[in-house]
Amino acid sequence: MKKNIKKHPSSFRDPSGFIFADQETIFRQINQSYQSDYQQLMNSGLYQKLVEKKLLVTHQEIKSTNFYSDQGYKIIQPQRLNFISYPYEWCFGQLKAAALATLQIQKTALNFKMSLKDASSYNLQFLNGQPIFIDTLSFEKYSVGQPWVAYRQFCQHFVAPLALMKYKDLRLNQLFRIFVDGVPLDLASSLLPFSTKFKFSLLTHLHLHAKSQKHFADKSINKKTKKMNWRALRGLIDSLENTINNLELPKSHTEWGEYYSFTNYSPTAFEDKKNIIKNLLKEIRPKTVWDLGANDGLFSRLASQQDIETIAFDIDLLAVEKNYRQIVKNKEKGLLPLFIDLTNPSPSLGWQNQERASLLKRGPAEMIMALALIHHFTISNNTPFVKSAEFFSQLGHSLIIEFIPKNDSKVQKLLATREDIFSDYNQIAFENAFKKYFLIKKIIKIKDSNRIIYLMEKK
Amino acid sequence: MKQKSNLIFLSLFFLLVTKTAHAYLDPGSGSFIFQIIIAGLLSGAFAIKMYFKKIKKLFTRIFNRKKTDYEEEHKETP
Repeated sequence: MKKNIKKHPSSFRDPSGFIFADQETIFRQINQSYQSDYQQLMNSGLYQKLVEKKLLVTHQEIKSTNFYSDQGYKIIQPQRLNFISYPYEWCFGQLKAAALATLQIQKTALNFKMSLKDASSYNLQFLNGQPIFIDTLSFEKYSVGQPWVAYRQFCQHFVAPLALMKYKDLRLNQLFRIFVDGVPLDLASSLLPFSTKFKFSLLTHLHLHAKSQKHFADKSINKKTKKMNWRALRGLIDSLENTINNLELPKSHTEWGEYYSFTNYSPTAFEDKKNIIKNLLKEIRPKTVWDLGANDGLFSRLASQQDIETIAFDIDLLAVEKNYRQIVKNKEKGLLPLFIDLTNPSPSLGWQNQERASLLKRGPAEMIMALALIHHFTISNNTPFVKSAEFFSQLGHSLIIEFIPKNDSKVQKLLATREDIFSDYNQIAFENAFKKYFLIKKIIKIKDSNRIIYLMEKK
Repeated sequence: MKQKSNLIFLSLFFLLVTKTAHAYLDPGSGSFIFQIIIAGLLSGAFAIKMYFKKIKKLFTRIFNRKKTDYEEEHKETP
């Protein structure tokens, strides 16, 4: 085996196989113990069906027998995804779509006499607005009478966080950052309002389920003698599907009005800003763009509509939600909206702090867009210009950044509630700080506005 | 010689015995028991739902509509 082959740090729990990377190419070794399940997946028509429905990533079998370890049966090369996102970066709609996709896959699998042996939200990614399952080895042969081994995991990864986001606070998706295997049901049960006990689906799959877990916590049971028939299993999946479908955000959350499209500059300035960005993107032609502070993705679309793989990051979960719903509605391609707090971006998490990669490790992008963002870093987070410049230089190779002068009403709004200690907040200080990490290529003033767009390239 | 035959026997044994994937995920005793109980209750509701689906399917056939993916997913047998 070559030295530059590396096993993926998150791929160690399932003995059926694992992911490894040979330089830039991703492979999956299937172990001999999974041989018969893999054959069933491929020969029964299940793989074909799921791929047709765009619910499962495609893969190619590799002829090589140069296995990573001696338990190897086959090596496959899965379809490449440009970016891996995590459930703590998804909005409500994305987590809900991932939950429904998991159940759809399980229902389809049962029709082919197979069943999902896990139901982790990390098994799904987003491709062109749709959730897609990435773990080809999650399917096992279904034998009659067998309960769903992943029921607990499904409730922890989907039912509990979605219920908490709906009934308590959208920001509770951040519990995924603390609990590596989904939200513990006893915690969800204690946090949810008492009224949720009057909803049959949540009473059963969350509250009573949590009680049952507590009751049997130290008891061992003979699982081989405990059976449930196929109809009961389908009834369970059906009930979970109804539970997820009924979890909807209140209308007060989703009737956005003009809030997200409100700007403090004139229509002329707005059009000019769009044209400037569009032309800069055409000129540079980056393969990937990360739009930081993207709001509902209006400017991100200038990139994705030019077939550039774009990620629209924002700290406002409702803005991400609005962006996601627009992508689904219009079947948009090449745009992925994600939640991120840029002052505290996703860290490396999990076993040995390596299972889930930090934001920085998943970069850099070819281009960063930071429109109407720098004043938030500087004034709301007290970040000196030079620290912002350093951060952007770690995230991408080139940068489109908007400088917003102090007299702009958006800056004044941030200063309204605090003392102005930002005597260095000016264009010259901004340029000098960014020159430490970037070469300034272009400076373009937006018509009918005091705002300025810069194109920069990393030194 | 004996060692050799032992080795051959062991190799044959591992080749012939079908290897099965072992469930790696702990379903949790409480979750396991609970789903059996709750699914028992839900199976009745599911059976009724399927009954109505069959009636709907009959009408669909009458009107000669193309079989949809949705109906296929709701097949009653695995």
